[in-house]
Amino acid sequence: MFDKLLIANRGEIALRIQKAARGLGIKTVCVYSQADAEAPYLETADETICIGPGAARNSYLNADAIVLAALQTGAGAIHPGYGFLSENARFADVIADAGLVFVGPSADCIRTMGDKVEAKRAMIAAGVPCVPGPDSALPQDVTAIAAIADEIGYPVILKAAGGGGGRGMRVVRSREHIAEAVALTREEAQRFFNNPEIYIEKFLENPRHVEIQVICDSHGNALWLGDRDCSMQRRHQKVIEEAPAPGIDRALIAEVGERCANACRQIGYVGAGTFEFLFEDGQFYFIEMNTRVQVEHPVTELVTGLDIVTMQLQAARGEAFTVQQGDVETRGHAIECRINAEDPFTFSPSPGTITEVVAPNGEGIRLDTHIRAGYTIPSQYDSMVAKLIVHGADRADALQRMRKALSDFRIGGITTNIPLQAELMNEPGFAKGGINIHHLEHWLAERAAS
Amino acid sequence: MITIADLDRALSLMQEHGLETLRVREGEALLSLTLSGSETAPLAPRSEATVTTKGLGRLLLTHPQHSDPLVQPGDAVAAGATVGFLENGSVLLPVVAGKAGTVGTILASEGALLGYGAPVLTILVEA
Repeated sequence: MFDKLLIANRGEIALRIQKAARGLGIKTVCVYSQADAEAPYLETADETICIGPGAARNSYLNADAIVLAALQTGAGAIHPGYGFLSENARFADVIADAGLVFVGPSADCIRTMGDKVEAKRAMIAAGVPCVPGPDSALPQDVTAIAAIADEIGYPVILKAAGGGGGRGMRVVRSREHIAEAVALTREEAQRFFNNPEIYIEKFLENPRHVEIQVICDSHGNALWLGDRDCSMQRRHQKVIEEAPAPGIDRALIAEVGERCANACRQIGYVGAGTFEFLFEDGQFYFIEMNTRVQVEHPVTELVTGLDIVTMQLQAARGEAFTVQQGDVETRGHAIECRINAEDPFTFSPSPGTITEVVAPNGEGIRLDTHIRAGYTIPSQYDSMVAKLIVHGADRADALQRMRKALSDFRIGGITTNIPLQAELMNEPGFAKGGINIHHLEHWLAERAAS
Repeated sequence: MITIADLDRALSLMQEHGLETLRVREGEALLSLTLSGSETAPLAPRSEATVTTKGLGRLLLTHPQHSDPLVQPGDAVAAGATVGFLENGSVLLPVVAGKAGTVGTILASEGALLGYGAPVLTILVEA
């Protein structure tokens, strides 16, 4: 049981965690880099301490400095947020070794889910549907590999076991290219992830990205909190997320959700997590589990009325959830637009000083942001400056609210992707619902050509 | 507050009594004057450098096994000299003067928890 929490992150999620901690009467210590010394959310933390220069590898990725900061300030727990060290098993180990609480699952769970082959094996054991393909790394022998690919059927995809986030992957469409593709992917896997193991799966041509949110306490309560559709992506980066996923049979979602919760029980998972799936032709295919809170958690919070970050802290404190699976209901529809400091159509970053912020407000509108007028966006980090989230009675209502909110939202002094988001709210494919993960890139290409 | 008139008076006193250097402390301000031989020679220009932390921890201005502070205002320090420590449990991380000069003002207090890049003291550096 801790009463002081160190927040090992920055930006909107640092502020979001602060709010949840305050709600539970937990004091907060915000660590920051020199580039973030002027960040507005530092003013509302109970304590702050600079842990290093602007470059993330010397500050937000410096596990030892973060643990020292916790020990020196008397914080009993560390919340990693998302990105940075949030899925780093060694970080969880260092925290535990220092006698502190890591707000998240055990280092062993992070390690299992970080190895995509091991993760797949655990999912198959728990009955979670996976993409067709063996649950083991590929052998060395190219003839044996070709036989495996034949059995799966082309096209297939080769993936690095230690990979993630869209790197270290290669699609192979016919047998004549398999040997060369295996060699290249192995070499990349070694170079990027320091692990030459690769595995093979059926390649799905036009899937949607649908994910299941789970949250577990340390008393064996594993809940699934519904689904999200995050198919609106560009270069594997999510742009818009919504809950629930439109047009998918609720009974099928519930079946998959139960299997995810069951997998959590089997691996002794504690904390928030997300099972990411590809969804094609009415079937779910597990791709990976994220062992942390997601950027898009607010859409789930709006439709369930549950506070995921608060539940993370309760689980980390060793408390048992009072809410049970039967209490979890999805009401209405929620949409999140990621607002980035970048050109809406060329996507080149636009850091700089914000001169004005006019926030949209009204029924069903939530804005998660750390920016304000006068704030200078550092160039070292991710370009996301805000998340605009709306909740409506149904999807059409939510869409209408988002259109209005986007037109009211003004950020002066920098360029943002608000105009892109506004166009997408009126784009026929998205308005209809159920687009696949290639939709945005195709739409952008067509838009650029016309 | 040191005025131009004070400077004039200090300079004439130095010349009158043949003093080469003079240091006057008033609150947080430190005035340091040096005459180099001839009456007409210009004063050697000085710049102020701030020594900052390269890690985090509790500031020690005195080594735990000694009774005197490592440095005090007015002390000459060499580049690379240890002017303090950051304590983390049993580990002492030295705070090092980047440039040679004279210790000016101590900016942080003993036992304070300092983050990365925090100012510890100033050094007056001969140009």
